[in-house]
Amino acid sequence: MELTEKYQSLIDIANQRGVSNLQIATQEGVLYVTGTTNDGSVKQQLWDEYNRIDPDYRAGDLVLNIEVEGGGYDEYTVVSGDSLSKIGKHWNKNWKEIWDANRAEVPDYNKIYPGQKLRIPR
Amino acid sequence: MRLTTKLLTSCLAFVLLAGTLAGCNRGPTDQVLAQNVNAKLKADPALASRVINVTAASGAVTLTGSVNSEAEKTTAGQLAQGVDGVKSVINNLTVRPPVVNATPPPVSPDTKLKADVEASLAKYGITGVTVGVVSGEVTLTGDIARAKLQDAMKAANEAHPKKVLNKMNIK
Repeated sequence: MELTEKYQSLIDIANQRGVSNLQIATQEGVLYVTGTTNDGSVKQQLWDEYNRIDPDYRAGDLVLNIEVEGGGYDEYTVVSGDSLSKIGKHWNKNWKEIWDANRAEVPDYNKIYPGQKLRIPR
Repeated sequence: MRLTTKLLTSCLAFVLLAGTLAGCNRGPTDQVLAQNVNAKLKADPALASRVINVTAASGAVTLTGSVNSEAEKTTAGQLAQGVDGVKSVINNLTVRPPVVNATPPPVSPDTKLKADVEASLAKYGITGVTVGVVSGEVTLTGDIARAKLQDAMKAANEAHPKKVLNKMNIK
């Protein structure tokens, strides 16, 4: 199967959600999908679609690189042993800045749970 | 005088009532109209997966968003026009065919690639994953929690590799 066919739904989403500078190329059995968006949820939707097509990411036939421009958030999944200050250190952010971006879901800054998704301000 | 007032009042009541009735005959409100058009578009197999925004003002429906072909744009306009109560359709849909071009993006040199993937893994709080890079091909080995798998793949994909091979043991 052609790679563009295998990943057609992902390419469709990128088109529909208005990913700018969308570039799609194939070379030596790898499909490259690159572009930029100002909406972090668009990038996440594309990754979720990739995940749906190849749940374990074993095929090694796609390079997906969607840059989120300006403002917005990165998504971080909490692992056991994490604290806001530890996460902040990795992302070069003050823990309070991260807490502020997640107040609704994290009422107590001492209580974050493995698997929980946090928004890391850019 | 009294009679005149009474007459006037009943006239007013009649006018108000007539107004209400006329309002009922005017058909669905703009909000309902937009919803009906949206439902109609969603029922079309090709258009169902497109992102189309529908607004209505005094029965005039405006379509915005993007579709993959001229044919889809025309279909969307016709479907909207066919919805009960739609007086006119302003079809502002843009056609954006999927792009396939020949040149793949540039690949980072191996040392930079390895350093970037490792820095990114650290950012995502991932430990215990080894990054191997040969001629632009990134191989990830080690143990990874399923919840962190996507983050690890993002780290590798976004460092400008030629290829990403996931040899990690998913836990």
